[in-house]
Amino acid sequence: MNKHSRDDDSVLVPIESLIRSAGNFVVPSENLRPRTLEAAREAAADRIGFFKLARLFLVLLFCSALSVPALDRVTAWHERSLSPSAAEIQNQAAQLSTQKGIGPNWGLFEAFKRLRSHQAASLSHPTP
Amino acid sequence: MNTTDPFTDQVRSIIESIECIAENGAAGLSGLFDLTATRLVRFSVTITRNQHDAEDAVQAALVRVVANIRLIRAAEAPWSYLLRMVRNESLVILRKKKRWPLVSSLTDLLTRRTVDTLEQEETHRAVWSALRSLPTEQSEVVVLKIWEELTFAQIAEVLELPPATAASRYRYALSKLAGHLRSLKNGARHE
Repeated sequence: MNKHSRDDDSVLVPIESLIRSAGNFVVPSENLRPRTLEAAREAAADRIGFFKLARLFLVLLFCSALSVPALDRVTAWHERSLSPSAAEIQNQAAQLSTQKGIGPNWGLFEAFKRLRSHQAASLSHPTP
Repeated sequence: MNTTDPFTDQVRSIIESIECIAENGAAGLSGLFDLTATRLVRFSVTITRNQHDAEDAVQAALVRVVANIRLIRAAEAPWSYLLRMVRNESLVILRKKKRWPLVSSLTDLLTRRTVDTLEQEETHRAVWSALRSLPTEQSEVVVLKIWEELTFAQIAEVLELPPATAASRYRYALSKLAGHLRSLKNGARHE
């Protein structure tokens, strides 16, 4: 068995050296280097662009997360500060005077009184 | 795995010098290319059996290396890892072509020609033709063993097979190659 193996090796070793000598026979083409570097540069630019976009998205997400409660407060303040128009007050005064059987001046007085008490109530209970 | 051979150390030091893709990834790649491209193309040609496809595979693998430098830096044996990447890219290209080329012609190869070695060209062509006559799973073992000087354990890691299988494929391939090349060798001896 060992003799057989030694015989094999004696045949294979010269073959190995023959193959080894042909190792540098094939070379890459001249344009492979610039092509590869250019592709790497493009891939890097794409990745940098992607990271910038992702960062921008995160910043926008953070800003919107911060702005939602602030917008809620602004909206609540805006709703609270809204006052009825003169026409609405006039309509309310007419309705009150008809309902309660009082004159239009007292109706207007009652309408303003209700408006003031409503505004005082909303100011004393601010929206969270 | 033994990673103390000088070439692996060179590959490792170049990979470690590529600090950050955003800063000098492409510049770092040029060093890695100069060190490894010839050997990677040579390995890939044995799989794709076409130089153009082999160069595409090498390019794709090197671009991937720079894009995910942390992966190869974390690898225990970066040279084996790089060879495996090139092998995978070569197989992807072959799969896209949907046919395994069986031609043994060498017309696609870009070969090195110098006046000193012109007389050896015939021998080299015979070796490459003989390699192409082998099935890919055998020729890639021969290339990794003889040209890349990897151990069977390292070859097994690159090709993802047991070391014993790599060793048996190598011996089987070499005995086939011996048959192909014996006539050439005898002819040279007679001269």
